[in-house]
Amino acid sequence: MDLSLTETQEMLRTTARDFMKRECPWTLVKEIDETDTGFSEDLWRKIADLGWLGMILPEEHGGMGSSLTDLAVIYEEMGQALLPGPHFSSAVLCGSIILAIGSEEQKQRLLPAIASGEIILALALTELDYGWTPECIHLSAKQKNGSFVLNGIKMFVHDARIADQLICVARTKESSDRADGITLFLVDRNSPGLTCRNLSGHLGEKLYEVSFKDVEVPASNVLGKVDGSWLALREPLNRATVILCAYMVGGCQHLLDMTVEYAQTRIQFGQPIAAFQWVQSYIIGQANHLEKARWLTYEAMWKLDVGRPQHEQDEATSLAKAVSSEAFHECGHLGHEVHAGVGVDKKYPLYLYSKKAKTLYSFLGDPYHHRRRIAEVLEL
Amino acid sequence: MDFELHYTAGQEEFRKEVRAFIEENAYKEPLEVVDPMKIPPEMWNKGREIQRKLGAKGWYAPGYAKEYGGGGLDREHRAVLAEEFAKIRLERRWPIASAGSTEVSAIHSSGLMSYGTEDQKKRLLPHLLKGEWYGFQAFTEPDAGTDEASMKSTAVRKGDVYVINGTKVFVGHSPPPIHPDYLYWPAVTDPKAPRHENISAFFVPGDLPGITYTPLELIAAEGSKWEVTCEDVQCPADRLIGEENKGWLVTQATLAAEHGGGGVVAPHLSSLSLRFIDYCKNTKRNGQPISRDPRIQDLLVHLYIEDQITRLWGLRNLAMASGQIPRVRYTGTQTSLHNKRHSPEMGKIFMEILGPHCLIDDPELKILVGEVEHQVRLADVTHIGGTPETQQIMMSRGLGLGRGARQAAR
Repeated sequence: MDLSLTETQEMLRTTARDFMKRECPWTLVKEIDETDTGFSEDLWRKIADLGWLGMILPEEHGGMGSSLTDLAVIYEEMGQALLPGPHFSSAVLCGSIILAIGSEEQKQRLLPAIASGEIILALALTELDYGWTPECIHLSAKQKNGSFVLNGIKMFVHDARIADQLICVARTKESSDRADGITLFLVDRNSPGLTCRNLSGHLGEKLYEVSFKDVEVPASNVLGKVDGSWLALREPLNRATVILCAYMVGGCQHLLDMTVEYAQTRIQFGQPIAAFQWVQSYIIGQANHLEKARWLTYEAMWKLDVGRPQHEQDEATSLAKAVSSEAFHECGHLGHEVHAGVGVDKKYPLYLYSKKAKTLYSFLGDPYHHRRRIAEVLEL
Repeated sequence: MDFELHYTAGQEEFRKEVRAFIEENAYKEPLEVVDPMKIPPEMWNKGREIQRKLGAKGWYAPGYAKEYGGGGLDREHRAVLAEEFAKIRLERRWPIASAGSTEVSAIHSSGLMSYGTEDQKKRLLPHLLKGEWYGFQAFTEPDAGTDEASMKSTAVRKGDVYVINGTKVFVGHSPPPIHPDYLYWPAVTDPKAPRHENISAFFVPGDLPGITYTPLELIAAEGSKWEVTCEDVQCPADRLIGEENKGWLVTQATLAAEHGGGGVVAPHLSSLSLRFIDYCKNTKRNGQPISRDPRIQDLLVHLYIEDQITRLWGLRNLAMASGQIPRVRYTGTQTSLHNKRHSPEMGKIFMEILGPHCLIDDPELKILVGEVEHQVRLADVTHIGGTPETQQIMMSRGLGLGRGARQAAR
C-alpha cells in the first residue's frame, strides 16, 4: 500500500494549482457564469495548450495516455477553482465514450480534434423522465434510406450550445429489455431540425433542452453497435464519473477552507465565530464529508486504473459518486450556515460553489441511483 | 496510489512464526461469548497468561524500545502481528478484550515514557511493556468526567509514602473478582496551585490496604467496570510518575496514545456491518430474504458505505503515520468521532430491520452469536475514551477553530 502521489502527479498538481490561481479567479468564474454559453475562448485555448483535454486519450490519437489518477489530480484543482467550460463534457465524457465504442475511423477523426480543443462534444442522454437508466431513454431513431431520423427531446444537456457535435443516446428498437434497442449517434449540432434552448434557473452549469424534429443522421455516424450500445456505456461512464468526483472533492476542499477562514475572521459578540461550538460543528461536518468523498474517490480511481474486476469498478465508482454528490452538496449548505448573509450575496463566491454542487448532484446519477447500483453489486 | 497491501518475504516469514504462536494458544472452538462484560474469570486468566507469553517474546508492546521491555519491531512486523490477532479474533478463538498487540498497560506507559525520570522508566516500564502487570486507568471520578482536571482525589506526602484519598468510577476491565496489579491514579497534590498544575500521577499497587473495589452494573462497556475507593492508602513514594504536580501532562500523554495517536497498523478485515449484510441476504422472513425489501436495501447500502469509509480512513491514517502522505491534524480524532457517530446509527438500523429480534440474546434466537443484541446496547455507549462532543472539540482545534482561533483574534 502506498497512498502517495507520484512525482509526476505532484508536478501536475503544482502546475494546475498555479494555473488556477493565475488564470481562474472566482471573478472570472462569475463572469463566465453570467454568459449564455458558459464558455471563454481564451480559457479554453489555455487549457488545450496545457494538454489537459487529451490527458486520458491514447498517444496514437493525439492524447497523452495518462492514468485517470493523473487527470483526477488536475480535476481536483479545477474543482477548487470551479474552472468552467465544456472540458469535462467534451474531453472526459465524450472522449471516453468514443474511445470505448467508436470505430477506428471515428477515433482517428475525432479524438485528436477533441484533444486539441478544436472541436467540442457534449452528451445528450437524459430526458424529461430524468434518469441514468435505460428505462429513461425514449427519443426515437428510425431507419430511413440508409440513414436514421431522430425525433424527441433531450433535457438537461450540459454544454449543448457550445458543442459542435452531440452524442445522442436514442432508442432504435422497442423491446421488453429496456437496455436492448439503444443506439448512440454523433449528431452535428447545426443539423436541420435540431434546436437548442437555454434552461434558466439556479444552475451551476449551462443546461439545455435539445429538440430533435426529423433530424437526419447518416448511418456512418452511429457510434458502436445499432441497438446494442447501452452496456458499452458502462465503462466510459464509470471513468468520467470518477473524474467528476475528483472535481467535486476539490469543490468540497475549497468550501471547507473558505469557511474555516471566514469563521476565524468574522467577529460577533466580540470573538471570532469559530469559537462557537455550533459553528465548529458545521465545519466538522464539512471536513467529514470531504474526507469521505476524497478517499472513496481515490480508491475508485485506483481500481479503474489497475483494471480490477468489473463489479469492483462499478461498486467503487458508485460509492464515490453517491458520497461525493452528497458531500459537495452538504459542504455547500454547511458553508451557507456559517456564512449566513454574506454567503448569499453575489459579491462573495460561496453561491457559485453551492449551486454547482446542486447541479452536479444528479449529473451522471444521483446518490439514490448509485446506491441502487451498489445494492445490485452486493446482490441484496 | 496503491490501495493493495503487499508483503515482503520477511513479513511472510514472520507471519508463520506468529501464526504458530497463535494456534498454540488459541481456543480450538469458536467462543459463544461476544460481550466483554460477560467474560468468565477463567477466560480472563487465560488472556493474561497469553499476554505474559507475548511479553516474553516482545510482542506485547511490539513497537516500544527493547531496553524498556518492548519488542523494538518496525511498522511492517507490527502490521503482521496486528493482522493475525485480528484474524483469530474474527474466528472468535481468542480470549476477548485481552492479549492483542496494543494493550492497556502499554498505553499506560506513554505518560511514563514522555515524562518519567530515567529511574522510573527502568524500574516500571518493563513490568508494563512485558504484560506482567495489569492496571486500571483510574482517571474518571463521580464528579469529574469530561472535565478531568476538576478531580477531587488527593495525595499528601508523608515521609516515604503519599497518602491517597478519593473515588474513581467507570474504570478497569477485569471481571469480578479479579483486581488489578496497579491503579494508574492521578490525584491533587497541591490544592493551592492553578488548574493543570496541581495534579500528580501514581501507579498505586492494587492490593494496598484501604482500597475498596466495587463492580458496577452497566448496560454495556468494553469490559467489566468498577468503582474504586482509596481511604488513607499509603502509596510508596517511588510510584510517583514524572514530577510532582506535573501529572496532568502524564495523563494527557496516555489519553493521546489511547485515542490512536500512532495510527492503526491492521487492515480492516471484516466488520459487524458486513456480517449483518450477509445475515440479511441469507435469512428469510415472509418467504423471502430480508434483503429483498428496497427500503432495507437502502439501509444496508448505508451500512456498507460507512463501513468502507472506516476501512479507507484506517488506510489513510496509516499512510499518514508512515509518512506517505502529509499529516492532517484532525484526522485521528475524525476517525474516532466517525466510529462514535456510526455506532448508534448501526444499532438503530438493526432495530429498523429486525424489530424485536435484535433485542434478544436468548441462546436459541440470538443473531450473529449475540453481536447484534450487543451492538444495540453499545449504541447508547458513546462516551468511552471521551464523548463525541469532546472529540468534536479536539477536532475543532485540529481544524484551527475554537481555542486557537480565539487567541489568534486577540
